[in-house]
Amino acid sequence: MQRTYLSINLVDEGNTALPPEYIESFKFSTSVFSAYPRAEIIYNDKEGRMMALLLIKPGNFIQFVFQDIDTQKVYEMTPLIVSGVESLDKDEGTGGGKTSSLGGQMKIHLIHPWEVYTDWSNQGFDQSISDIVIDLAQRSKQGWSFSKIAVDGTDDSQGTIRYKLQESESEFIVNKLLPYATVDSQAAYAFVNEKNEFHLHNFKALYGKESRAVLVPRPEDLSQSPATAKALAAFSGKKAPHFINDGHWALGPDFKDQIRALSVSIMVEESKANVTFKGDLAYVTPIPGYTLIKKDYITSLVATSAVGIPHRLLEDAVRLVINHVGILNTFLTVTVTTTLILDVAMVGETIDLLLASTPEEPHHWMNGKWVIGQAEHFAAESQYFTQMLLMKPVIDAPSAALAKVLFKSENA
Amino acid sequence: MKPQFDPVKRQVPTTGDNLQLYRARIYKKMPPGDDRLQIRVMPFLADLPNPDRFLPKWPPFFQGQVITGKTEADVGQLADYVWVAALPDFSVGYVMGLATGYGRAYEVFQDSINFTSVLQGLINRGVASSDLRYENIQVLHRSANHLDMVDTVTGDRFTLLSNGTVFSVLRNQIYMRVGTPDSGRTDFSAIRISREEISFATPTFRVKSANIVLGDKGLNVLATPTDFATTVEGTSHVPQTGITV
Repeated sequence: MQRTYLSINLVDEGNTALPPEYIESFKFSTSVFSAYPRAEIIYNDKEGRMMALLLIKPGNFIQFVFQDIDTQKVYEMTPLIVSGVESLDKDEGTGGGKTSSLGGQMKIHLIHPWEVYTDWSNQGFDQSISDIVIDLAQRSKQGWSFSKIAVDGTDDSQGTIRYKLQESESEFIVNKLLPYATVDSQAAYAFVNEKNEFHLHNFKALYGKESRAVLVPRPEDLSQSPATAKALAAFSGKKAPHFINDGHWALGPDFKDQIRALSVSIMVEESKANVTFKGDLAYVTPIPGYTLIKKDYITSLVATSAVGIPHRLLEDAVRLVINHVGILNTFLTVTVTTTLILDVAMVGETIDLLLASTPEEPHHWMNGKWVIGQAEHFAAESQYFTQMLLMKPVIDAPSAALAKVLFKSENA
Repeated sequence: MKPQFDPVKRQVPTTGDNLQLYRARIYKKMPPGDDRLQIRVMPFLADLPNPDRFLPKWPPFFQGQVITGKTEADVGQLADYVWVAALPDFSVGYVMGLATGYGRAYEVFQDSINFTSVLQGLINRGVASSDLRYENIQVLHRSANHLDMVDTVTGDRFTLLSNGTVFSVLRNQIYMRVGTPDSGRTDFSAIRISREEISFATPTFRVKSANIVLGDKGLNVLATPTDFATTVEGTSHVPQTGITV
C-alpha cells in the first residue's frame, strides 16, 4: 500500500466522512496481548463547525476505511466508538482550554465497542475455556459483531466453574480465563485485530502462519554484497518487499527477567489425586519460544510434603507461580516502522525480516519470520505508516549453546 | 491499556491466590454423605442465574468440622449466613462457620449474652462463685437457648440451656440439673458430685434394678434396731450405719 486513501466515517451520522483536510493525524493501535483496537484522531476544526453542530459526540461510531489507490482494494477497519473529545489548544494565562472558541485542534479518543456494548450481568460458566470464549464472542452486542471468530480449542477440561462478576465480557476473558487458558499446553493469546476479527491462539499457532511480506532496509542502507542480493532475490516475486523507514532496535531488554522466570521450582498439587509435587522447570524450551508448562518439560517431579498451592491442577499452578503463563514465552522484540501495510500484515500475522549481510556473515541472525505482536498505524507528514513490534522466539537449544543458536539465521 | 512494549508489565495480573474472607448465605445442603454447603457469596453471587448448577459447593475449613444451618431452600432469604475463605475468583473456597450480624460501630450487638444474669443463675445453683469473671470466660458456642462456656483460668466448664438444664464440670464438683430455671421452685432434679458426697434433689427418686447392693462389708442390711451386727441362722448381717432417714 504505497499510495493510500483514508476516509474516516461517522457511521451513525449517515456515514458522513470527516473532512480530510481537518484530519491532522491519527493513531490506530492494537496488539496480541489481551487487547482490542483503539485509536485517536487529531482533528483541526478551525471554525468549530463539528463541535458547534455536535456532529462528534461520545458514543458515535467511527470507522477508518483505507483504500489502496493502486489496486482499488478497500480495507474496512473495526468500528470504534468516540469515548471523548478534548481541545488541545491552550490559551496563555488561562491555564485551560480556549474559552473563546469551539474550534481548534481537538483530540478524539476512540475505543472498541466491546468496551461499551457488552453483557455486564453476573454469570457462571462450566464449559471449557474455548467454548466460553466462543459463546461470549458470538453473542449479540447491540448492533455490532465480530467479523470473524477464530478460537483454538483449549486444554482445560470442563468442570471448573468460572464466574463473570461485575465485569465486561472482555475483562472476564482477560482476567479470569486467559490466566488459566492453555492451547496445546501453551499460553493462550486473545485479541481483536484491526479488522475486528477475534482470535484465541497460542504463540506456536501465530508463529506457524505463512508470512506474506518481507521487510527490507531502504536501498541506500542495503548492503551491496552478493549474499544480500541473493537473499533478496529469493523473496522477490513471492512476497511484497516493504522498506523499513525506522527501527527501534531494542533487543530483548527484559531477557534476563524472562530467563529468571523460567528458572523456578514450583509446588504443585494435583487436586484430583491429592498428590503434591515439587517441580523444577527446565532452563530451556525444547521448541522455539514455546512455553514450559507441558509435564514433559519439567525435569523432575518429586513428592514433597510441602503444599504450595491448594487444589490447583498442574497447568494452573505454573501459571500461579509465574504470574502468567504468557511470560514463559521468551521473545526477542524489535520495533520497526514502514509504510502502511494493512494489506499484508496485521497483529497476529507474521512477516519476514531481511537485513543487510556481509560477505563474512552472509546470513544476518535477525533474518527470518517474526510475529507482529503489536501494530500502530499512524499518519505523519501526510504519509501513512505502520509501526510494528516484532517478536521472535529465542531459546531453542541447550543453554551452553545459547548465544550461538540465538544469533543464527533461519535462512542459513 | 498495558504498556505493550514491556514484556512483564503487559501481562495481566492474576486475580490472586490468597484466600480472602467473604460473607455468604447457605443456599442448599448437600445429600447425606457430603458435608459441603452450597453457598451464595454475597453480594457477588446474589443474582447469579441457574444457582443450582453454578453456586459453589465448599467444604468446612478445618478437617473434622461439620457446619450446617438454615438454607435458602428451607427458609428463603432468612437462611443462615456463614463466613467463607475463598480465592477472589471463587474457584476454591472453605466454609469457616456461621456468621453473626454486621459489626457496625456504635450499633448494639443483638446476640450478646447478659453475663450478670448468667452468673447469678450459676451462683443460685451453687455451681459458680463470684470469682467467675467475664474476662476469663471463653464462650464455645451460644444461641438463644444455649450457652457453652469455659473459665479459661480455672478450667471450669458450663453448659446452660434456657429451660433450666445445667451441666457443669468444676474443680470441686460435677453438677447436673434438669428442670425449671427458677431456683426457688422444686420442680427440678439435680445431681451434685463432690469429693465428700453425691447429693440428689428430685421430687421423686425412683430406682429400677434387679439388684441393689449397698455397703462394702459383706452382707448388709439397711438398718437394725441397734447398731450392732445381727446373726440370723448362722449369717451375720451388718447394719449400714451411714444412712439416716
